[in-house]
Order: sequence, then structure tokens, then C-alpha cells
Amino acid sequence: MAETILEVKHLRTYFYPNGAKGPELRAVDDLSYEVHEGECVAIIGESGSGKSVEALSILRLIPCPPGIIMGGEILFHGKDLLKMTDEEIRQVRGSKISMIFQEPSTALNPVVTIGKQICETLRVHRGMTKKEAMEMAIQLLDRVNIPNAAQRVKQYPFEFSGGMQQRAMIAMAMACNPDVLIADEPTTALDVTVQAQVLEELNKMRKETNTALIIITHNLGVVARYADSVKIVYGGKIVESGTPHDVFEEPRHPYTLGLIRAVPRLDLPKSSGLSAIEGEPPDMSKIPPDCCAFYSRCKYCTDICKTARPEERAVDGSATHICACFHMNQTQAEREALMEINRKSLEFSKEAET
Amino acid sequence: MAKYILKRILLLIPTLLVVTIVTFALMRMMPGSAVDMILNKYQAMGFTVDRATVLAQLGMDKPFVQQYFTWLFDLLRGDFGDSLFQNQSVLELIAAKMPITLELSLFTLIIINVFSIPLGIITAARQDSIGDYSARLASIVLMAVPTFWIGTLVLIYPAKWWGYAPTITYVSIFDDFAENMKMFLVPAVLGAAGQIGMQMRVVRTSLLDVMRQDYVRTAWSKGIKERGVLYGHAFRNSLIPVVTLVGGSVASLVGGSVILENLFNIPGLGSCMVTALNNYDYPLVQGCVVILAVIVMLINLLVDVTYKWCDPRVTLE
Repeated sequence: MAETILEVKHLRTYFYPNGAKGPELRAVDDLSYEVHEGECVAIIGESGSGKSVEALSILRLIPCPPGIIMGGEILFHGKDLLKMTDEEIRQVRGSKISMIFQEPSTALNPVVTIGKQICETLRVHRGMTKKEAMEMAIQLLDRVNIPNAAQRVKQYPFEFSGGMQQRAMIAMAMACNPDVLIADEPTTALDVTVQAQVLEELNKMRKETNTALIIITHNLGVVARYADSVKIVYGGKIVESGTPHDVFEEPRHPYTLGLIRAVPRLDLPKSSGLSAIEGEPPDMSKIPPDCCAFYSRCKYCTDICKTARPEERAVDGSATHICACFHMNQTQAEREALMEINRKSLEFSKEAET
Repeated sequence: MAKYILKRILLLIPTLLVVTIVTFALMRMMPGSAVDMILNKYQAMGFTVDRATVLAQLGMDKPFVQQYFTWLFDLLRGDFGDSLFQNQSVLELIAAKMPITLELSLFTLIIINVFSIPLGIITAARQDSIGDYSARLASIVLMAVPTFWIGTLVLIYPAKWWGYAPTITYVSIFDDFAENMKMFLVPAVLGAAGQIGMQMRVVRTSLLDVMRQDYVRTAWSKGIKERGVLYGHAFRNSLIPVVTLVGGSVASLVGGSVILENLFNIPGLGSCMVTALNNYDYPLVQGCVVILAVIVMLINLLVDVTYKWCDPRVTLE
């Protein structure tokens, strides 16, 4: 296995929206994972599960107040990012670890040309002159397939389409060949037709430079296609993780099962309808710390779920597959039913073809 | 751009026409009249003059509409008429007062911006620090203190304690820079005070709002230093409300400040206009209003063009 470059250990990021004395909101609560060189890690969860906060915590971009990283370690090449001085972390940002955001139209500065925004990273970290940086910016835009790059660098973000803006973001983030690229829902704000292109671009750039990619998404299709490793986050904690095969073919956690079932399928007969996970995402300020965050929405819930927090345990002695659920061995029936549906849909689509 | 500016300038014409109508009508609607003033004056000097003679002399025996058009066509020829009570033409008077008021306005404007913008940036960057709280408190004090009061204090106490008084005879800045400064600096600071408080708060609020935007987070994520994030990314985005405010201050400054001009004996446009109003000096008041209206409209045009510079997304049509 390739070298571990980023190691998140027991990260806890809390928010205090009403000041220090108000209720705390545990957005990320004891979250751990590793990222290896060149690996693509997908972090999946619904809105409010803490996945974006986790990503921002890595680069210490949590607005403080109201947010604060309460504990844990984020080891980057063995050095704890959380213990670095402001100047040290600044030198990591954009050069060793860079980030792409959800909404390219708001994540790019509206009054600065695209070229200048790309140049900035190069000038800060590489000490390039204006001219060198601009030439490099044109090359970078070219690499993400923006036509007429030499003219385009002089334009403002509002003159770019959404897909091009996100490509420019990718060019900007990849400018210094970072070791890790964090993409926070990079395609959520884009047109479906553009999503695939942008992801392809991202994947191509990553492969070329052997950059590890942490992709945060709620799009399971993306994950199945690109990820080497999948983490399902619920209530600020990883509830299940493993290879795409582990998580999608042999899911154990009731939440993962619910997620997979909730994916709308065009290949199934209309009568099968849409399925959703009952209830609402948890209000993290209301859930006591010592229980399973999912219990109120879980049909397997028993008393132990309400009084203790399930530990992450390996599934059936697997080296990659981990699940945090007291009842992970009781979900077999549901899993098999789900896989049966998948098989049927496969047959259905085959029939449709013939 | 050039086409837009030309269009805006052409649009000044109808606006200006309305200004002339309103000013003319308002002046004639004022209770009392220039004729009464003149008659009183003659009477005080011991002459008895016929009212009709005075009316005919001023051209006021004709119908209002005719009077208005006479004035308007004179204006179009560049003739603003003569002041009724000062033996000078309106244009001569304005040409004498305007530079003084413009100089005071310019100084005031410089002082406002030199203080309010850096203070606004610092307080936004160090939100909720002691410095932020004290600057905000100071800004409220600045806005609350009336100019006439602090102006009077500034005149009385230095004179009482140190026997110092500001210069009270106007000297052109080109003739004697030091004397001129002695006269203008204090009123400029006083005139700026309230606006500094207000503008500092606007800069701070606007910048704080911008600092929460996604693109500022992007800038941080790129590893840019704080200075670069603040000036390179946040500041320019926060400028639009500030430009609006500066435009407003310029517009009100060029009209001159009656209080400050009277306190410091500055022969500017503000006191000139008030005197003219008290005297029912129709041509002078009307002339001043027309000139000021043109200036204010040009400033508005400048503000709109500046928006385009601040934010390239703004379209001037």
C-alpha cells in the first residue's frame, strides 16, 4: 500500500452558535480516517452530516467564532496541522493541500480576473513573477480544457459558465501540484451534463500528478466510479467505511442501506416508487453524546443504541470494511433484499436492451 | 462607456430644466418679496419710492411665466443676471465663492477618507477586539456631537487658554499656504468628524459582510497572507456602499456649510446662499442652485462610473 500522507485522528469540531455558554453543536465528533498517496477517498453523507465541516477543519478554515476544533489530530506527512502556527498552515494551504468548493460562482472572486486568481497561488507559493505566473495560468487552463485560454485568463468569473468556473477552480487548486486535493461537493451546483466532464477533468489531473483526492459528495454514482475508499458519515462520525465494493455490495450499517435504497433508479419499473430514509437529519445540538446518532431513524434500534455509542469494528474480519453499529449483523435480510433489487434491475435493463 | 457618459450628460438637460422651474417657482412662492426688501431699504435711507417703479426696474411687473422664460433664456446665453443687493453679477459672485468652498470640501473629503477607510478595515479585520469596540464607540460620539457646539468650543477654549485664534481673513492657498491652512484645517476636521464616524461604520460593516463570502474563504484556502486576502480580495468587493456614501458627502460638501463658514468666517458658498435667501436675492439664489445641481448630477455620474470600476459585473446602459 502507498504511503499514508494524511491521517485524521479523532477529530472533533464543535460550533457554538449562541456563544460559549449556549448549546454546542457537534458537527464533527470523533472522526478518523487515513488518506494514502494518490488515493481517492469519498466522504458521503446527507446535508448537515458534518462532511464539509470536516473538510474545512483539515485546512483550519472553520470560522472561529462560532466554530472551534476541540480535539484530535490531523497528521500531514506525520506533522499535526492543528498544532502548526498560522504561518506554517498558510504555507500548506494551496501548495500542499488545496481545496475546491461547492459553488464555483461564489467561490471565485467576482472582481478579479480568472488569470489573476490562478496566478496568485503561484506567486505566493512558487515566488513566480507576474509574467511567469500568467504563462503558467494559461497552461493550466489549457490542461483543464478551457478553449482560448490565453484570452480567457483576462476574463472575469461572471464571463465563464458554471462548468468552466469549476474547471478554473480545479486549475487554481492544482497549480502547485498539491499532495492532497479536497473537493467539497465539486459538482453539486453544476448541470448534470457538465458534472461528468468536470469529474473527468478532476480525475485526469489527479492521475497525472498522483495527487490524493478527498471528494465530499452525496452523489453515490460519483463514488462508485472514482473512489478507492468510501466513508459514510452520519452525525459527524464515520458509520461505515471500506472499498466501494464493501460499502455498496455488502453494506452493513442501516444508514448505508437506506442511502443505497434511496438512490432513484431509472432502470426499475415506475411502480417500485422512491424510497426515503424516515425522519430528518439529526439536530446535532440535541443528540446526547453517548448514543448512536442514527437511533431515532433506525428500525433496528434497541435500548443499547440509546445509551452507548457504537465503536467502529471490522466487518467479518475484513481488513478494509469497517462499520459502527451494534446491529450490523442483523441487517443481512435487508441487504439481501436490496441486492436482489439490484440484480432484478440488471435483468430488467438487459431485457429492455433486447 | 463614452457613449454612456454622453447619454447621461444629455439626460442632464431635462433634469436641469425641471430644477430651474422648481427653483424659480419656490423663490416666488416664498412669503415676502425682494420688492419689500428694497422698499424698506429706501425707506430707512429716507427716500420714498413708488412700488411700481421698483417692480418695473426688476422686471417683476410682467407675468411669472414671462419672467421665468426671460431668466431661462438669459441662462442659456450664459447670463446669470446680477445680484439684487451686491453690486456684482451672479457669476462673479459664484466664481469668487466657489473655489473657497471647493477647497474646504476637498480637505474635508481627504480627512474623511484618510481616517474612515483604514479604521473601517482595521476594525473589521479585528472584529470584537478592544480596538474595534473603542473605534465604534468613538464613531458614535463623532456622529452625535453637533458641529456648532464643538466648533464653538474649538473657537473659545484655545483663545482663552493660549490666546490662540484661527485666521479670520481669507487668503488664497496660492498666496500664503500656511495662513490658508490655519484657516481651513480646523473647519475641515470638524466638518469631517461626523462623516468619519458614519463612513467608518459603513466600511466595517461592508467589509465584514464580504469577509463571510465564499471567495474570501477560497482566498484563505490558497494560502494567501492576511494582507492579501483583505486588500486583494475583500476590500474592492466592499467598496460599492462606500462609494455611494462618498458621493453623498461630496454632494453635500460642495453646497458649503453655513455653520462652519459662519463660525470660522469663511466666505464660502453656504453663507453666501443663506444671505441671498434672507434678502430675497432671486437671481443669486437661483444661479447658485442651478450650478450646484449641475455639480451634484455630475458627481452622481462619476459615482455610477466608479461602480463599474469596483465591480465589472455592473453594466452601464
